[in-house]
Amino acid sequence: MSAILKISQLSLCLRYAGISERILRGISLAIDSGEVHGLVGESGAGKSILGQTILDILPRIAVIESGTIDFDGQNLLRLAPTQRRGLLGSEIALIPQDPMTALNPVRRIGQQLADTLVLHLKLNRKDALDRACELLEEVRIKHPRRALRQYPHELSGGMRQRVLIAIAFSCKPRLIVADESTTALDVSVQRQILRLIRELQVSSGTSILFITHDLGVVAKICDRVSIIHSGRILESDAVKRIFSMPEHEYTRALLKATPRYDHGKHQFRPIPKALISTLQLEAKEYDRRIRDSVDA
Amino acid sequence: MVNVRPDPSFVYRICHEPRAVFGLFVLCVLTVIALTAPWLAPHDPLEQDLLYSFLPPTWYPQGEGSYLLGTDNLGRDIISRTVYGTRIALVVAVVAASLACLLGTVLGLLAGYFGGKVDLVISRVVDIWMSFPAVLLSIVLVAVIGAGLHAVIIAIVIIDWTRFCRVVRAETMVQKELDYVASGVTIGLSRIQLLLNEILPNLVPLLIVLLSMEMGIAIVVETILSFVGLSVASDTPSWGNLIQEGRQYIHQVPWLLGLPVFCLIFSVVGLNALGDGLKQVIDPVSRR
Ligand SMILES: Nc1ncnc2c1ncn2[C@@H]1O[C@H](COP(=O)(O)OP(=O)(O)OP(=O)(O)O)[C@@H](O)[C@H]1O
Ligand SMILES: [Mg+2]
Repeated sequence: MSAILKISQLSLCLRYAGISERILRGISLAIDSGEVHGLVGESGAGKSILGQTILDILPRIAVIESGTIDFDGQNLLRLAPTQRRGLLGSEIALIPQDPMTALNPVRRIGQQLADTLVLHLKLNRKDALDRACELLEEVRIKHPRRALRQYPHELSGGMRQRVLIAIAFSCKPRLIVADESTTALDVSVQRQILRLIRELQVSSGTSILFITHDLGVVAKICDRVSIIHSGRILESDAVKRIFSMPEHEYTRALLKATPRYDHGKHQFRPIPKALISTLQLEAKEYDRRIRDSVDA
Repeated sequence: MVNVRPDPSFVYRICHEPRAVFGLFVLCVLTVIALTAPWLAPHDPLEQDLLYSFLPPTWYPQGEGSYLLGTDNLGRDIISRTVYGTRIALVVAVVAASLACLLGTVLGLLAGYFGGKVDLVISRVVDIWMSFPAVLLSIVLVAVIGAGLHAVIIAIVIIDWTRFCRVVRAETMVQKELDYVASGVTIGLSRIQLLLNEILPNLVPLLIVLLSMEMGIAIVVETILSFVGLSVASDTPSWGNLIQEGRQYIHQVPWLLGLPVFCLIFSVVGLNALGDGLKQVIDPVSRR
Protein backbone atom coordinates (compact mmCIF):
# COMPACT_ATOMS: atom_id res chain seq x y z
CA MET A 1 0.00 0.00 0.00
CA SER A 2 1.19 3.51 -0.69
CA ALA A 3 1.50 5.96 2.16
CA ILE A 4 -0.71 9.04 1.97
CA LEU A 5 1.21 10.71 4.79
CA LYS A 6 4.85 10.04 5.60
CA ILE A 7 6.48 11.84 8.48
CA SER A 8 10.20 11.43 8.91
CA GLN A 9 12.56 12.59 11.64
CA LEU A 10 10.21 15.33 12.80
CA SER A 11 11.48 17.31 15.79
CA LEU A 12 9.71 20.23 17.36
CA CYS A 13 10.14 22.36 20.42
CA LEU A 14 8.14 24.98 22.24
CA ARG A 15 9.96 28.18 23.08
CA TYR A 16 8.66 30.49 25.72
CA ALA A 17 10.16 32.87 28.25
CA GLY A 18 13.65 32.08 27.03
CA ILE A 19 13.42 28.35 27.62
CA SER A 20 13.02 25.73 24.94
CA GLU A 21 11.27 22.44 25.58
CA ARG A 22 11.46 19.65 23.03
CA ILE A 23 8.07 18.01 22.49
CA LEU A 24 8.61 15.83 19.40
CA ARG A 25 11.87 13.91 19.08
CA GLY A 26 12.58 12.52 15.64
CA ILE A 27 9.08 11.23 14.90
CA SER A 28 8.75 8.92 11.91
CA LEU A 29 5.34 7.66 10.96
CA ALA A 30 3.63 6.46 7.80
CA ILE A 31 -0.13 6.39 7.25
CA ASP A 32 -1.28 4.27 4.34
CA SER A 33 -4.12 5.39 2.19
CA GLY A 34 -7.38 3.96 3.40
CA GLU A 35 -6.19 3.01 6.85
CA VAL A 36 -7.11 4.15 10.33
CA HIS A 37 -3.88 4.71 12.18
CA GLY A 38 -4.03 4.95 15.95
CA LEU A 39 -1.69 7.17 17.92
CA VAL A 40 -1.61 6.13 21.55
CA GLY A 41 0.29 7.57 24.47
CA GLU A 42 -0.19 9.08 27.86
CA SER A 43 -1.10 12.68 28.54
CA GLY A 44 1.65 15.09 27.49
CA ALA A 45 3.28 12.62 25.12
CA GLY A 46 2.91 15.06 22.24
CA LYS A 47 -0.02 13.48 20.40
CA SER A 48 -2.01 16.66 19.92
CA ILE A 49 1.08 18.64 18.97
CA LEU A 50 1.82 16.06 16.24
CA GLY A 51 -1.75 16.38 14.96
CA GLN A 52 -1.48 20.15 15.02
CA THR A 53 1.77 19.99 13.08
CA ILE A 54 0.08 18.01 10.31
CA LEU A 55 -2.81 20.48 10.23
CA ASP A 56 -0.62 23.57 10.54
CA ILE A 57 -2.47 24.92 13.57
CA LEU A 58 0.45 24.87 16.02
CA PRO A 59 0.62 27.44 18.80
CA ARG A 60 2.89 30.37 17.97
CA ILE A 61 5.57 29.25 20.41
CA ALA A 62 6.18 26.02 18.47
CA VAL A 63 9.27 25.77 16.30
CA ILE A 64 9.83 22.88 13.91
CA GLU A 65 13.51 21.99 14.13
CA SER A 66 13.87 19.30 11.50
CA GLY A 67 12.07 16.65 9.51
CA THR A 68 9.63 16.35 6.62
CA ILE A 69 5.94 15.64 6.30
CA ASP A 70 5.20 14.18 2.89
CA PHE A 71 1.57 14.37 1.91
CA ASP A 72 0.67 13.08 -1.49
CA GLY A 73 4.24 13.47 -2.73
CA GLN A 74 4.87 17.04 -1.49
CA ASN A 75 6.60 18.16 1.68
CA LEU A 76 3.95 20.07 3.65
CA LEU A 77 6.59 21.94 5.61
CA ARG A 78 7.91 23.46 2.37
CA LEU A 79 4.56 24.64 1.05
CA ALA A 80 3.68 28.33 0.98
CA PRO A 81 1.27 29.26 3.82
CA THR A 82 -1.59 30.01 1.43
CA GLN A 83 -1.18 26.67 -0.35
CA ARG A 84 -1.10 24.91 2.97
CA ARG A 85 -4.23 26.66 4.20
CA GLY A 86 -5.88 25.62 0.96
CA LEU A 87 -5.46 21.97 1.93
CA LEU A 88 -7.24 22.47 5.24
CA GLY A 89 -10.81 21.28 5.13
CA SER A 90 -10.50 20.04 1.56
CA GLU A 91 -7.60 17.55 1.64
CA ILE A 92 -6.82 17.35 5.36
CA ALA A 93 -9.61 17.74 7.89
CA LEU A 94 -10.02 17.61 11.66
CA ILE A 95 -12.59 15.99 13.89
CA PRO A 96 -12.17 18.03 17.07
CA GLN A 97 -12.19 16.70 20.59
CA ASP A 98 -14.97 18.57 22.29
CA PRO A 99 -18.30 18.67 20.44
CA MET A 100 -19.70 21.08 23.03
CA THR A 101 -17.38 23.92 22.12
CA ALA A 102 -16.28 23.25 18.56
CA LEU A 103 -19.44 24.65 16.96
CA ASN A 104 -20.26 28.34 16.91
CA PRO A 105 -23.11 28.85 19.41
CA VAL A 106 -24.88 31.62 17.49
CA ARG A 107 -24.88 30.14 13.99
CA ARG A 108 -27.24 27.50 12.66
CA ILE A 109 -25.92 24.00 12.00
CA GLY A 110 -26.72 24.36 8.31
CA GLN A 111 -24.70 27.55 7.92
CA GLN A 112 -21.70 25.97 9.59
CA LEU A 113 -21.88 22.90 7.36
CA ALA A 114 -22.33 25.04 4.30
CA ASP A 115 -19.17 27.06 5.02
CA THR A 116 -16.83 24.26 3.96
CA LEU A 117 -18.90 23.37 0.91
CA VAL A 118 -19.04 26.95 -0.31
CA LEU A 119 -15.36 27.46 0.35
CA HIS A 120 -13.89 24.31 -1.17
CA LEU A 121 -16.50 22.87 -3.53
CA LYS A 122 -17.57 26.33 -4.74
CA LEU A 123 -21.24 25.54 -4.29
CA ASN A 124 -23.71 28.39 -3.94
CA ARG A 125 -25.44 28.74 -0.57
CA LYS A 126 -28.62 26.99 -1.66
CA ASP A 127 -26.91 23.96 -3.18
CA ALA A 128 -24.60 23.87 -0.18
CA LEU A 129 -27.59 23.66 2.17
CA ASP A 130 -29.12 20.84 0.11
CA ARG A 131 -25.82 19.00 0.22
CA ALA A 132 -25.53 19.72 3.96
CA CYS A 133 -28.88 18.02 4.43
CA GLU A 134 -27.62 14.89 2.65
CA LEU A 135 -24.49 14.95 4.78
CA LEU A 136 -26.56 15.07 7.96
CA GLU A 137 -28.51 12.09 6.68
CA GLU A 138 -25.26 10.23 6.08
CA VAL A 139 -24.25 10.75 9.70
CA ARG A 140 -27.71 9.45 10.80
CA ILE A 141 -29.18 12.64 12.17
CA LYS A 142 -32.87 11.93 12.37
CA HIS A 143 -34.55 15.06 11.09
CA PRO A 144 -31.84 16.57 8.90
CA ARG A 145 -34.08 19.35 7.52
CA ARG A 146 -34.89 20.52 11.00
CA ALA A 147 -31.33 20.08 12.27
CA LEU A 148 -30.09 22.42 9.55
CA ARG A 149 -32.06 25.24 11.13
CA GLN A 150 -31.14 24.41 14.72
CA TYR A 151 -28.47 25.97 16.88
CA PRO A 152 -25.76 23.82 18.50
CA HIS A 153 -27.22 24.07 22.00
CA GLU A 154 -30.40 22.44 20.76
CA LEU A 155 -28.49 19.24 19.96
CA SER A 156 -26.97 16.69 22.33
CA GLY A 157 -23.24 16.03 22.50
CA GLY A 158 -23.47 12.93 20.33
CA MET A 159 -25.49 14.80 17.71
CA ARG A 160 -23.01 17.63 17.67
CA GLN A 161 -20.15 15.19 17.23
CA ARG A 162 -22.07 13.77 14.25
CA VAL A 163 -22.29 17.27 12.79
CA LEU A 164 -18.53 17.73 13.24
CA ILE A 165 -17.94 14.38 11.54
CA ALA A 166 -20.16 15.47 8.68
CA ILE A 167 -18.13 18.66 8.35
CA ALA A 168 -14.85 16.72 8.38
CA PHE A 169 -16.00 14.30 5.66
CA SER A 170 -17.89 16.91 3.62
CA CYS A 171 -15.19 17.64 1.04
CA LYS A 172 -13.93 14.07 0.80
CA PRO A 173 -10.52 14.79 2.31
CA ARG A 174 -7.66 12.34 1.89
CA LEU A 175 -6.66 12.50 5.53
CA ILE A 176 -8.61 13.20 8.70
CA VAL A 177 -6.98 13.89 12.04
CA ALA A 178 -9.27 12.78 14.86
CA ASP A 179 -7.87 14.12 18.14
CA GLU A 180 -9.60 12.38 21.05
CA SER A 181 -12.81 12.73 19.08
CA THR A 182 -14.82 10.42 21.29
CA THR A 183 -13.28 11.14 24.69
CA ALA A 184 -15.92 13.68 25.69
CA LEU A 185 -18.80 11.28 25.01
CA ASP A 186 -20.32 8.63 27.25
CA VAL A 187 -19.51 5.03 26.45
CA SER A 188 -22.62 3.99 24.51
CA VAL A 189 -22.60 7.13 22.38
CA GLN A 190 -18.87 6.64 21.91
CA ARG A 191 -19.46 3.20 20.43
CA GLN A 192 -22.04 4.53 17.94
CA ILE A 193 -19.73 7.36 16.92
CA LEU A 194 -16.78 5.03 16.40
CA ARG A 195 -18.92 2.76 14.22
CA LEU A 196 -20.08 5.77 12.22
CA ILE A 197 -16.55 7.05 11.66
CA ARG A 198 -15.44 3.60 10.56
CA GLU A 199 -18.33 3.27 8.12
CA LEU A 200 -17.75 6.65 6.53
CA GLN A 201 -14.03 5.97 6.39
CA VAL A 202 -14.53 2.66 4.60
CA SER A 203 -16.99 4.06 2.08
CA SER A 204 -14.89 7.12 1.31
CA GLY A 205 -11.45 5.51 1.50
CA THR A 206 -10.17 8.38 3.63
CA SER A 207 -7.18 7.75 5.90
CA ILE A 208 -7.53 8.69 9.54
CA LEU A 209 -4.96 9.49 12.18
CA PHE A 210 -6.85 8.54 15.32
CA ILE A 211 -5.35 10.10 18.45
CA THR A 212 -6.41 8.55 21.75
CA HIS A 213 -5.10 7.23 25.03
CA ASP A 214 -7.65 4.45 25.12
CA LEU A 215 -6.43 1.10 23.79
CA GLY A 216 -10.01 -0.15 23.85
CA VAL A 217 -10.88 2.46 21.23
CA VAL A 218 -7.84 1.46 19.19
CA ALA A 219 -8.99 -2.16 19.18
CA LYS A 220 -12.40 -1.08 17.85
CA ILE A 221 -11.42 1.20 15.03
CA CYS A 222 -7.73 1.10 14.06
CA ASP A 223 -5.87 -0.95 11.47
CA ARG A 224 -2.44 0.00 12.70
CA VAL A 225 -1.22 1.80 15.76
CA SER A 226 1.83 3.74 16.89
CA ILE A 227 2.83 4.06 20.52
CA ILE A 228 4.23 7.43 21.49
CA HIS A 229 6.01 8.53 24.66
CA SER A 230 7.92 11.74 25.40
CA GLY A 231 7.65 12.70 21.75
CA ARG A 232 9.17 9.47 20.45
CA ILE A 233 7.44 6.67 18.56
CA LEU A 234 8.28 3.48 20.47
CA GLU A 235 6.72 1.02 18.08
CA SER A 236 4.34 1.03 15.17
CA ASP A 237 2.55 -1.98 13.70
CA ALA A 238 -0.74 -3.70 12.91
CA VAL A 239 -3.16 -3.56 15.85
CA LYS A 240 -3.48 -7.36 16.00
CA ARG A 241 0.29 -7.81 16.22
CA ILE A 242 0.73 -5.11 18.86
CA PHE A 243 -2.05 -6.56 20.99
CA SER A 244 -0.83 -10.15 20.72
CA MET A 245 2.95 -9.69 20.73
CA PRO A 246 3.91 -6.24 21.97
CA GLU A 247 7.59 -5.68 21.38
CA HIS A 248 8.35 -2.65 23.48
CA GLU A 249 8.28 -2.94 27.23
CA TYR A 250 6.16 0.22 27.50
CA THR A 251 3.55 -1.22 25.16
CA ARG A 252 3.32 -4.33 27.30
CA ALA A 253 2.93 -2.18 30.42
CA LEU A 254 0.28 -0.09 28.66
CA LEU A 255 -1.70 -3.21 27.73
CA LYS A 256 -1.52 -4.48 31.28
CA ALA A 257 -2.67 -1.10 32.57
CA THR A 258 -5.82 -1.27 30.44
CA PRO A 259 -8.74 -2.71 32.42
CA ARG A 260 -10.57 -5.47 30.56
CA TYR A 261 -13.76 -7.37 31.33
CA ASP A 262 -12.06 -10.78 31.08
CA HIS A 263 -9.31 -9.83 33.51
CA GLY A 264 -9.56 -10.09 37.26
CA LYS A 265 -8.95 -7.00 39.36
CA HIS A 266 -5.47 -8.15 40.40
CA GLN A 267 -4.33 -8.26 36.79
CA PHE A 268 -4.75 -4.53 36.32
CA ARG A 269 -1.33 -3.01 36.98
CA PRO A 270 -0.17 0.60 36.74
CA ILE A 271 2.81 1.39 34.54
CA PRO A 272 6.02 0.86 36.61
CA LYS A 273 7.74 4.08 37.69
CA ALA A 274 11.12 2.68 36.73
CA LEU A 275 9.98 2.21 33.14
CA ILE A 276 8.75 5.79 32.92
CA SER A 277 12.04 7.16 34.23
CA THR A 278 13.99 4.99 31.75
CA LEU A 279 11.91 6.47 28.92
CA GLN A 280 12.48 9.98 30.22
CA LEU A 281 16.21 9.31 30.42
CA GLU A 282 16.19 8.12 26.83
CA ALA A 283 14.42 11.33 25.82
CA LYS A 284 17.06 13.39 27.63
CA GLU A 285 19.73 11.32 25.90
CA TYR A 286 18.15 12.18 22.54
CA ASP A 287 18.22 15.88 23.41
CA ARG A 288 21.88 15.62 24.40
CA ARG A 289 22.82 13.93 21.10
CA ILE A 290 21.07 16.71 19.18
CA ARG A 291 22.83 19.39 21.21
CA ASP A 292 26.21 17.73 20.69
CA SER A 293 25.70 17.38 16.95
CA VAL A 294 24.72 21.06 16.73
CA ASP A 295 27.73 22.16 18.79
CA ALA A 296 30.16 19.98 16.85
CA MET B 1 -29.75 10.08 23.39
CA VAL B 2 -30.04 13.00 25.75
CA ASN B 3 -33.18 14.96 25.17
CA VAL B 4 -32.46 18.66 25.07
CA ARG B 5 -35.35 20.81 26.17
CA PRO B 6 -35.83 23.63 23.71
CA ASP B 7 -35.15 27.04 25.18
CA PRO B 8 -37.99 29.39 25.88
CA SER B 9 -37.98 31.71 22.93
CA PHE B 10 -36.16 35.01 22.92
CA VAL B 11 -39.42 36.94 22.77
CA TYR B 12 -40.75 35.02 25.76
CA ARG B 13 -37.72 35.87 27.83
CA ILE B 14 -37.85 39.54 26.89
CA CYS B 15 -41.48 39.67 27.98
CA HIS B 16 -40.44 38.40 31.41
CA GLU B 17 -37.70 40.97 31.93
CA PRO B 18 -39.44 44.11 33.23
CA ARG B 19 -36.56 46.46 32.40
CA ALA B 20 -36.46 45.31 28.79
CA VAL B 21 -40.23 45.66 28.50
CA PHE B 22 -40.13 49.17 29.95
CA GLY B 23 -37.21 50.11 27.69
CA LEU B 24 -38.95 48.81 24.57
CA PHE B 25 -42.09 50.67 25.62
CA VAL B 26 -40.11 53.93 25.92
CA LEU B 27 -38.44 53.38 22.57
CA CYS B 28 -41.79 52.68 20.91
CA VAL B 29 -43.41 55.74 22.46
CA LEU B 30 -40.54 57.97 21.31
CA THR B 31 -40.66 56.49 17.82
CA VAL B 32 -44.43 56.92 17.50
CA ILE B 33 -44.24 60.51 18.74
CA ALA B 34 -41.42 61.32 16.33
CA LEU B 35 -43.22 59.76 13.35
CA THR B 36 -46.62 61.28 14.05
CA ALA B 37 -45.42 64.69 15.25
CA PRO B 38 -47.38 66.69 12.62
CA TRP B 39 -50.64 65.05 13.67
CA LEU B 40 -49.88 64.85 17.35
CA ALA B 41 -48.80 68.45 17.87
CA PRO B 42 -51.83 70.71 18.45
CA HIS B 43 -50.01 73.76 17.06
CA ASP B 44 -47.23 74.67 14.66
CA PRO B 45 -44.13 74.52 16.87
CA LEU B 46 -42.69 77.64 15.21
CA GLU B 47 -45.89 79.70 15.18
CA GLN B 48 -45.48 82.77 17.38
CA ASP B 49 -48.34 84.62 18.96
CA LEU B 50 -47.15 87.34 21.26
CA LEU B 51 -50.67 87.90 22.58
CA TYR B 52 -50.47 84.42 24.09
CA SER B 53 -46.94 84.52 25.50
CA PHE B 54 -46.28 82.86 28.86
CA LEU B 55 -49.66 81.21 29.06
CA PRO B 56 -49.78 78.86 32.02
CA PRO B 57 -51.15 75.31 31.72
CA THR B 58 -54.87 75.20 30.99
CA TRP B 59 -55.92 74.28 34.52
CA TYR B 60 -54.68 77.65 35.81
CA PRO B 61 -57.25 80.49 35.82
CA GLN B 62 -55.42 82.34 32.99
CA GLY B 63 -54.90 79.10 31.03
CA GLU B 64 -56.09 78.72 27.46
CA GLY B 65 -57.90 75.57 26.34
CA SER B 66 -55.83 74.65 23.31
CA TYR B 67 -52.44 75.29 24.96
CA LEU B 68 -52.55 72.37 27.35
CA LEU B 69 -49.22 72.98 29.04
CA GLY B 70 -48.95 76.67 28.26
CA THR B 71 -46.71 78.72 25.96
CA ASP B 72 -43.21 80.21 26.01
CA ASN B 73 -42.02 83.80 25.80
CA LEU B 74 -43.00 84.05 22.13
CA GLY B 75 -46.35 82.38 22.60
CA ARG B 76 -45.31 79.04 21.08
CA ASP B 77 -47.03 75.88 22.31
CA ILE B 78 -44.87 73.90 24.75
CA ILE B 79 -46.37 70.53 23.89
CA SER B 80 -45.93 71.00 20.16
CA ARG B 81 -42.34 72.08 20.58
CA THR B 82 -41.51 69.13 22.82
CA VAL B 83 -43.19 66.74 20.40
CA TYR B 84 -41.10 68.05 17.53
CA GLY B 85 -38.03 67.98 19.77
CA THR B 86 -38.50 64.21 20.01
CA ARG B 87 -37.66 63.97 16.31
CA ILE B 88 -34.28 65.61 16.80
CA ALA B 89 -33.51 63.58 19.90
CA LEU B 90 -34.37 60.31 18.17
CA VAL B 91 -32.51 61.10 14.95
CA VAL B 92 -29.40 61.97 16.92
CA ALA B 93 -29.78 58.89 19.12
CA VAL B 94 -30.17 56.45 16.23
CA VAL B 95 -27.74 57.92 13.72
CA ALA B 96 -24.95 58.90 16.11
CA ALA B 97 -25.12 55.69 18.13
CA SER B 98 -25.14 53.51 15.00
CA LEU B 99 -22.20 55.29 13.43
CA ALA B 100 -20.23 55.22 16.68
CA CYS B 101 -21.03 51.53 16.92
CA LEU B 102 -19.87 50.91 13.36
CA LEU B 103 -16.58 52.76 13.75
CA GLY B 104 -15.82 51.33 17.19
CA THR B 105 -16.70 47.79 16.16
CA VAL B 106 -14.51 47.80 13.06
CA LEU B 107 -11.50 49.14 14.95
CA GLY B 108 -12.17 46.92 17.97
CA LEU B 109 -12.36 43.81 15.78
CA LEU B 110 -9.09 44.68 14.07
CA ALA B 111 -7.31 45.45 17.33
CA GLY B 112 -8.61 42.36 19.10
CA TYR B 113 -8.07 39.94 16.26
CA PHE B 114 -4.75 41.00 14.82
CA GLY B 115 -3.16 42.11 18.09
CA GLY B 116 0.47 43.23 17.92
CA LYS B 117 1.14 46.62 16.36
CA VAL B 118 -2.42 47.12 15.13
CA ASP B 119 -3.69 46.62 18.66
CA LEU B 120 -0.99 48.83 20.12
CA VAL B 121 -1.87 51.78 17.88
CA ILE B 122 -5.64 51.47 18.26
CA SER B 123 -5.50 50.92 22.02
CA ARG B 124 -3.22 53.90 22.59
CA VAL B 125 -5.54 56.12 20.58
CA VAL B 126 -8.49 54.88 22.65
CA ASP B 127 -6.62 55.56 25.91
CA ILE B 128 -5.71 59.08 24.87
CA TRP B 129 -9.26 59.68 23.60
CA MET B 130 -10.83 58.54 26.83
CA SER B 131 -8.60 60.75 28.94
CA PHE B 132 -10.38 63.87 27.60
CA PRO B 133 -13.57 64.91 29.41
CA ALA B 134 -16.29 63.94 26.95
CA VAL B 135 -18.53 67.00 27.23
CA LEU B 136 -15.65 69.42 26.94
CA LEU B 137 -14.32 67.55 23.92
CA SER B 138 -17.72 67.62 22.24
CA ILE B 139 -18.06 71.36 22.79
CA VAL B 140 -14.60 71.94 21.32
CA LEU B 141 -15.35 69.65 18.39
CA VAL B 142 -18.66 71.30 17.53
CA ALA B 143 -17.02 74.69 17.86
CA VAL B 144 -14.47 73.55 15.29
CA ILE B 145 -16.85 71.76 12.91
CA GLY B 146 -19.52 74.44 13.24
CA ALA B 147 -22.90 74.22 14.92
CA GLY B 148 -25.75 72.17 13.51
CA LEU B 149 -27.27 68.74 13.76
CA HIS B 150 -24.67 67.05 11.54
CA ALA B 151 -21.88 68.54 13.67
CA VAL B 152 -23.49 67.19 16.82
CA ILE B 153 -23.73 63.73 15.28
CA ILE B 154 -20.13 63.82 14.09
CA ALA B 155 -18.97 64.98 17.51
CA ILE B 156 -20.81 62.17 19.30
CA VAL B 157 -19.39 59.58 16.90
CA ILE B 158 -15.86 60.90 17.26
CA ILE B 159 -16.10 60.83 21.04
CA ASP B 160 -18.07 57.68 21.73
CA TRP B 161 -16.63 55.15 19.27
CA THR B 162 -14.10 54.34 22.00
CA ARG B 163 -16.82 52.84 24.21
CA PHE B 164 -17.57 50.27 21.51
CA CYS B 165 -13.95 49.80 20.53
CA ARG B 166 -12.80 48.84 24.03
CA VAL B 167 -15.52 46.30 24.63
CA VAL B 168 -15.39 44.79 21.14
CA ARG B 169 -11.62 44.48 21.31
CA ALA B 170 -11.74 42.65 24.64
CA GLU B 171 -14.51 40.32 23.51
CA THR B 172 -12.77 39.59 20.20
CA MET B 173 -9.64 38.58 22.09
CA VAL B 174 -11.71 36.15 24.15
CA GLN B 175 -13.55 34.82 21.10
CA LYS B 176 -10.51 34.19 18.95
CA GLU B 177 -9.14 31.74 21.51
CA LEU B 178 -12.34 29.71 21.54
CA ASP B 179 -12.63 26.26 20.02
CA TYR B 180 -15.06 27.10 17.28
CA VAL B 181 -12.82 29.80 15.91
CA ALA B 182 -9.99 27.25 15.90
CA SER B 183 -12.29 24.84 14.05
CA GLY B 184 -12.97 27.63 11.59
CA VAL B 185 -9.25 27.66 10.89
CA THR B 186 -9.17 23.91 10.32
CA ILE B 187 -11.86 24.05 7.67
CA GLY B 188 -9.76 26.62 5.84
CA LEU B 189 -11.62 29.89 6.50
CA SER B 190 -9.56 33.01 5.87
CA ARG B 191 -8.97 35.62 8.56
CA ILE B 192 -11.64 37.92 7.23
CA GLN B 193 -14.12 35.04 7.05
CA LEU B 194 -13.25 34.07 10.61
CA LEU B 195 -13.88 37.62 11.77
CA LEU B 196 -17.16 38.03 9.91
CA ASN B 197 -18.56 34.46 10.10
CA GLU B 198 -17.39 33.18 13.44
CA ILE B 199 -16.61 36.12 15.70
CA LEU B 200 -18.93 38.98 14.70
CA PRO B 201 -22.20 37.04 15.17
CA ASN B 202 -21.13 36.35 18.74
CA LEU B 203 -20.71 40.04 19.38
CA VAL B 204 -24.20 41.02 18.22
CA PRO B 205 -25.89 40.62 21.65
CA LEU B 206 -23.20 42.74 23.22
CA LEU B 207 -23.51 45.38 20.52
CA ILE B 208 -27.27 45.61 20.95
CA VAL B 209 -26.82 46.29 24.66
CA LEU B 210 -24.13 48.91 24.06
CA LEU B 211 -26.16 50.49 21.29
CA SER B 212 -29.24 51.05 23.42
CA MET B 213 -27.16 52.60 26.19
CA GLU B 214 -25.32 54.75 23.69
CA MET B 215 -28.63 56.07 22.35
CA GLY B 216 -29.39 57.40 25.83
CA ILE B 217 -25.97 59.02 26.03
CA ALA B 218 -26.37 60.59 22.59
CA ILE B 219 -29.67 62.17 23.62
CA VAL B 220 -28.03 63.69 26.69
CA VAL B 221 -25.08 65.02 24.69
CA GLU B 222 -27.37 66.56 22.09
CA THR B 223 -29.38 68.22 24.84
CA ILE B 224 -26.23 69.61 26.44
CA LEU B 225 -25.01 70.99 23.13
CA SER B 226 -28.43 72.52 22.42
CA PHE B 227 -28.39 73.99 25.88
CA VAL B 228 -25.10 75.73 25.25
CA GLY B 229 -26.33 76.80 21.82
CA LEU B 230 -24.06 74.60 19.73
CA SER B 231 -26.62 72.26 18.21
CA VAL B 232 -29.58 73.14 16.02
CA ALA B 233 -30.52 76.81 15.51
CA SER B 234 -31.92 78.31 18.70
CA ASP B 235 -35.50 78.65 17.42
CA THR B 236 -35.65 75.01 16.32
CA PRO B 237 -37.60 72.99 18.86
CA SER B 238 -35.16 70.64 20.50
CA TRP B 239 -35.28 69.49 24.10
CA GLY B 240 -31.99 71.25 24.87
CA ASN B 241 -33.27 74.55 23.44
CA LEU B 242 -36.51 74.21 25.39
CA ILE B 243 -34.65 73.58 28.61
CA GLN B 244 -32.35 76.50 27.91
CA GLU B 245 -35.32 78.86 27.32
CA GLY B 246 -37.07 77.49 30.35
CA ARG B 247 -34.04 78.17 32.47
CA GLN B 248 -34.13 81.88 31.57
CA TYR B 249 -37.63 82.33 32.95
CA ILE B 250 -37.45 79.75 35.68
CA HIS B 251 -38.51 82.18 38.41
CA GLN B 252 -41.47 83.67 36.55
CA VAL B 253 -42.79 80.62 34.66
CA PRO B 254 -41.38 77.37 36.07
CA TRP B 255 -43.72 75.16 34.00
CA LEU B 256 -41.70 75.78 30.82
CA LEU B 257 -39.07 73.35 32.03
CA GLY B 258 -41.36 70.56 33.14
CA LEU B 259 -42.21 68.68 29.96
CA PRO B 260 -38.82 68.75 28.19
CA VAL B 261 -36.98 67.73 31.35
CA PHE B 262 -39.44 64.92 31.89
CA CYS B 263 -38.98 63.73 28.29
CA LEU B 264 -35.22 63.76 28.67
CA ILE B 265 -35.26 61.74 31.86
CA PHE B 266 -37.95 59.40 30.56
CA SER B 267 -36.02 58.53 27.42
CA VAL B 268 -32.59 58.19 29.02
CA VAL B 269 -33.90 56.05 31.87
CA GLY B 270 -35.85 53.98 29.35
CA LEU B 271 -32.90 53.38 27.04
CA ASN B 272 -30.62 52.45 29.91
CA ALA B 273 -33.24 50.05 31.24
CA LEU B 274 -33.48 48.56 27.76
CA GLY B 275 -29.72 47.99 27.69
CA ASP B 276 -29.69 46.46 31.17
CA GLY B 277 -32.70 44.31 30.48
CA LEU B 278 -31.38 43.02 27.17
CA LYS B 279 -28.10 42.19 28.84
CA GLN B 280 -29.99 40.03 31.30
CA VAL B 281 -31.98 38.33 28.57
CA ILE B 282 -29.07 37.78 26.22
CA ASP B 283 -26.30 36.83 28.63
CA PRO B 284 -27.26 33.22 29.44
CA VAL B 285 -27.35 32.46 25.72
CA SER B 286 -23.98 33.91 24.90
CA ARG B 287 -22.37 32.27 27.93
CA ARG B 288 -23.64 28.82 27.03
N1 LIG C 1 -0.03 25.84 23.74
C1 LIG C 1 0.88 25.25 24.54
N2 LIG C 1 1.64 25.99 25.37
C2 LIG C 1 2.56 25.42 26.19
N3 LIG C 1 2.79 24.12 26.25
C3 LIG C 1 2.07 23.31 25.47
C4 LIG C 1 1.08 23.83 24.57
N4 LIG C 1 0.51 22.80 23.91
C5 LIG C 1 1.13 21.69 24.37
N5 LIG C 1 2.05 21.97 25.30
C6 LIG C 1 2.92 21.03 25.99
O1 LIG C 1 3.38 20.08 25.06
C7 LIG C 1 3.39 18.79 25.60
C8 LIG C 1 2.63 17.85 24.70
O2 LIG C 1 1.28 18.29 24.65
P1 LIG C 1 0.15 17.56 23.83
O3 LIG C 1 -1.05 18.43 23.89
O4 LIG C 1 0.63 17.21 22.48
O5 LIG C 1 -0.08 16.26 24.70
P2 LIG C 1 -1.09 15.07 24.37
O6 LIG C 1 -0.28 13.87 24.09
O7 LIG C 1 -2.07 15.48 23.35
O8 LIG C 1 -1.77 14.88 25.79
P3 LIG C 1 -3.33 14.67 26.12
O9 LIG C 1 -3.56 13.20 26.07
O10 LIG C 1 -3.44 15.20 27.51
O11 LIG C 1 -4.12 15.43 25.13
C9 LIG C 1 2.79 18.89 26.99
O12 LIG C 1 3.85 18.80 27.92
C10 LIG C 1 2.16 20.25 27.05
O13 LIG C 1 2.33 20.80 28.32
MG1 LIG D 1 -4.15 16.03 23.33
